[in-house]
Amino acid sequence: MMFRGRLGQAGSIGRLAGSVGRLASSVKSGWQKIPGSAKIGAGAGLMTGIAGGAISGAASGGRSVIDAGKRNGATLFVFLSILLFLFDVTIGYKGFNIVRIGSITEILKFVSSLGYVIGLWAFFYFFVSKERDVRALASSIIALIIVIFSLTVAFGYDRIVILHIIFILIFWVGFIMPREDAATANILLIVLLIADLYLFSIINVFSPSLAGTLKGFPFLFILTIFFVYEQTNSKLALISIFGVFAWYFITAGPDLAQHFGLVDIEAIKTEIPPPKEMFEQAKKKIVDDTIKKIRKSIDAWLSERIQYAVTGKVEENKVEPLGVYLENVQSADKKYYEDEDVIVFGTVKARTLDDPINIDVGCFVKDGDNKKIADKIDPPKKFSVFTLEEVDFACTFGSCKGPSLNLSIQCEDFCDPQKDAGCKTVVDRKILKIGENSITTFADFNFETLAYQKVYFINRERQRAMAREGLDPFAEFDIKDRNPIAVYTNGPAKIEMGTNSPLVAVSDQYIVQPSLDVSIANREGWQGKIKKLKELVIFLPEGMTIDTEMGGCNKKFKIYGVNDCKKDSCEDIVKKECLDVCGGYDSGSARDSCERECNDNFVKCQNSCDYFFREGEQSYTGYALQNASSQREKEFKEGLAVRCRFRPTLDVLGSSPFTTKSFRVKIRYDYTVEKPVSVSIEEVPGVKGSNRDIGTNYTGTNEIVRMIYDVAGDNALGEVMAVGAYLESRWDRNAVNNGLCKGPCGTICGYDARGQPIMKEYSCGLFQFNICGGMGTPRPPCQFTDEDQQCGCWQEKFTEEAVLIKPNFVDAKANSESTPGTPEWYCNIWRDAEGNAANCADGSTLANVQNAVAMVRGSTSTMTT
Amino acid sequence: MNKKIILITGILLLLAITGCNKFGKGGQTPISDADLRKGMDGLKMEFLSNAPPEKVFAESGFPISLKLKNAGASDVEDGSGIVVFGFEKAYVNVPQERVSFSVKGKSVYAPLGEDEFITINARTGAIGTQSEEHPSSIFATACYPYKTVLGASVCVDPDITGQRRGQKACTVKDLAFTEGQGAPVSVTKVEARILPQDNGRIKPHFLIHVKNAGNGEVIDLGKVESVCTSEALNYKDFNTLVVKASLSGVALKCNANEESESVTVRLRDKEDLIRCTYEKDDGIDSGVDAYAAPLKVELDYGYTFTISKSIIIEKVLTH
Repeated sequence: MMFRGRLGQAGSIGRLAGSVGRLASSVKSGWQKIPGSAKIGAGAGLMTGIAGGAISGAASGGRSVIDAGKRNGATLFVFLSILLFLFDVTIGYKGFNIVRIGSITEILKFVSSLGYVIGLWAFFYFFVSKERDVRALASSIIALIIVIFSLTVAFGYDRIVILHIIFILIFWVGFIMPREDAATANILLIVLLIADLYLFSIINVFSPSLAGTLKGFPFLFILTIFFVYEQTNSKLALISIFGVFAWYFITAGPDLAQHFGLVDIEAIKTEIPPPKEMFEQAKKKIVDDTIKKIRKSIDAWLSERIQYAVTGKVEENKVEPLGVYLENVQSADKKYYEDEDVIVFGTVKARTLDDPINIDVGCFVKDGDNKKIADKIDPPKKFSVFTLEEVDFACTFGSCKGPSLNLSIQCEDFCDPQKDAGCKTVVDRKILKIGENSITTFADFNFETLAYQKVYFINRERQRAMAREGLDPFAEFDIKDRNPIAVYTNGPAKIEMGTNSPLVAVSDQYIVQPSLDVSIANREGWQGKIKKLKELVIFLPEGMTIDTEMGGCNKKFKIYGVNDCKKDSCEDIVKKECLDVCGGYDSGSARDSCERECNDNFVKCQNSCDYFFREGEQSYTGYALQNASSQREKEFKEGLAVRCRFRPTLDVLGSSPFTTKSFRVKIRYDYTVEKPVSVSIEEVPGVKGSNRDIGTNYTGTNEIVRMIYDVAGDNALGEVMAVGAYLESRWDRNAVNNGLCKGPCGTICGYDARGQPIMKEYSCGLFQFNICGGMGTPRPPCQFTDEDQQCGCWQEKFTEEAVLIKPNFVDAKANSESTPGTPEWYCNIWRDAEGNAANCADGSTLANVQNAVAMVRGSTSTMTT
Repeated sequence: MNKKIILITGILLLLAITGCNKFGKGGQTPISDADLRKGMDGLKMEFLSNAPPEKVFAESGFPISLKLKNAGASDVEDGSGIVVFGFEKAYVNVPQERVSFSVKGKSVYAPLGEDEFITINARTGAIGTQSEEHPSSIFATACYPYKTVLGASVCVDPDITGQRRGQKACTVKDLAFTEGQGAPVSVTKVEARILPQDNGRIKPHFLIHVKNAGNGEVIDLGKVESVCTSEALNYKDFNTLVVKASLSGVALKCNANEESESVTVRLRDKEDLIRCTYEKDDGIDSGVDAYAAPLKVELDYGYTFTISKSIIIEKVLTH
């Protein structure tokens, strides 16, 4: 390992060593042009213990090889490292994954058996090497031992590691040795061998979780490339470092987060709220929350703290996680105009292994403290998930401008309970405003979370005896999990548990009984909260009791037996809620199927009750929190804390020196999960500042023209409609019969050119609709006012005239053959839309039309935008 | 050139020496009693591979197999050894929690000691309704009586002051025993002293160092069964062993109680020192010449240790 100064001499010795040297020489001669290959021969020679011979076999070519390596080594070794890295990724290499070492004595015996080899090596060193450096000798001996040991283990357990050993030796001979002194080169060799072959196993001994995180971490690659870069400043080395790190963290990121205990963090898209909401949030987060945290810190410092930790970790699911998730929530469009329906959709994914999940999805917009629900939600009713399902949902916020090509919501569908008898749904049509709107999608659902906490029990006298003798029970009984953490099933709630000691001493008398703490809170990473706690039950293994009468817990508990489970839980909660959902179906196969599932789940629930109280040889006693539903929402923010003192009897102990038991907790609750999405609503291009509300009393000429333009949604169409309205009623929404004759219907106002009586009931409103049709069925905007079927104009919804007649104007405009913009054109459209015979050749009519156009243009020019 | 010749010679010599030996293993030497009484192992215990397996399905059976190897020199006889299994009753059921065993130690016919296998069929229970898997552990605690026997030759030299002329047959010296006696508790050192008496006699006095070098804890021989239960124990039940010593077949007095030939010793930090004196006939005549005498030390004790294996109980998922 330190023969740089003596390669020439070693060459002749190598020939005497025989086949290894000759083999290396033949390898050298064949591969002389490739720098790395001669080093393969050199590395092989090292392993026999007569390394000088093998290295010397390449001695004559070795010097030139080394020189070449100095020049080209950086690129070559970066390339080789990358190849090896890719190979390792493919096979999942992690060095020697040593899971057990039987006895250090055996290892030392093996090392001592190498005494002859070591002796020979040392003997050889002093005779051959120029550098009789003790440090170099010592490091070379250690490296030799590690190499031989590694080869032995590799051949015995994991031969693929030999490739790494070969690579390390090549790198050592070809790159490190030419650049470092013998001792340093040997030490670097030792470091590379240990880091690549044993580091994972060493870390696994001390911290299996960290080892799991670092599984696949390319130690050898990183060390090699860093060394190459440090020596040569090779850009390729630098790039490959970044590339591999990036690859590693991208692919191992979730495992990293998981193994470092960051299991509750989930990525949440940042939503920018509207300005008003932003101000409120800023005030809350910057000012209010800060004050709250300071106060809490002071309280914590002043108050006595429990010495032990109440912790928990989630039981990760292998494929699909348990719970209800809103995914791919998005708006159908990035931007909407004010006359368009806003649609938000997404997917609800739900999975359960026990109780069915009854889910109610929806969307709302916050208006202060109020929540305005979407106009239409699909699915409209609650639905149940029994195992695993994905259901698409969509929410529509209607523009409610009246019938449009796409609108499926008719404004008549909405009602005002103050005016309309039987009105059940009040919908405020002012749900979404111009600008940014934050719509929150939500899913209300029931869920169940279970948790268990492992605790060890030992006879108190035995524990004392062991303590007195300086014996650690955990070490003596080979208990690896010294501080068990409570595990809770996946879901939106977390259950943390802890006892005052993981090893509870059991006796027949207690001065202070051991305690069990349970904390229930909203789980981090879930956007939502527990709305209602329906049930909290603690199960204690047989042989332990809680004194519910004498304040055994800080909250009131009652005994909870298997019948309580089957009745209170399964029937009154699970089955009832499930059947309520089925009630939303129309009678038929869907409802029958739903009810069947509910009944099946009811039976399953009752069977699981048996499990909670007895499993194998272990029985449990249950204690349920009384009035669980009275717990307030805010308590789950910080964590609902329950502490109970329990009394283990000697019956807890089995027949072994110590016993392992689990405390179990079961909670059932209602949860709401939310996910926001932003939508942007803009005004319709054209006349701005209009009020789109239907039913608003537009007053004044300009306002009526504005309303017509709003309804038209298009300036050109708005103009022709406004011209038509002027011609019909002079924009008088109260006009009856062309505005020429005002009064109640039935009055004869006069006679037309044909001598026909002009009756009030025939024409009404802005566009002079024929309302009664000769005493026929009234149409909006008119209605019957008295028993004589007199007609009057329906004042409140006069804008519906424009909405109703708009399609007529659209068709007429499209079909018009006149030159656009001419009086004939306006006239023909007007007459056509109103269903009158065209008479646009008449001069006075055209003059009236021209005047109407001028009026419209005059009005629009003075309209404020 | 000279260096080369020396080097070549040295290599050939070493090759010749190493050529007859295998790495890590002894050669083909005859086995003697001295060889059997070497080592610091007593009973070794391990779970067999896949028994239990690392992953087990819920509500299914699986085997638990233990290999007990008596790598010491003493036999565990007549079912005096006990293995008790520890597990979470809620998740694992075992039909027989407590098993007795016997296994012989090293002998001429079994130089590495004999093996005994214990197999029981366990069954997993159901795991939580919302859980997919549940980690659990299986523990096996062994309790067994054991014995350490040391036979050594010590020198009794009445010439305390060293005034006598002439060559002596032996010299009084301390004896160190680094390789053990084929048991977890070993005598690590015997210091020999010769105490002069007023009556012109001498009394050989020995300081016997004992140490628990094994993988478990020493327990009172009479508490072997109790230790492998959940019963209360006294601190004296731990680290207690009985020592008997004799010189030339004559029992040494190791305690103040003249009637008992043995002494109960308590280890401190796994070690202790016992003082034993030759009291027969009030000592040995100081006029005799130095001679080598056989010293025998017997330690009787119980021993216990525990091993564990983790398993994961998996639910059979249908969705």
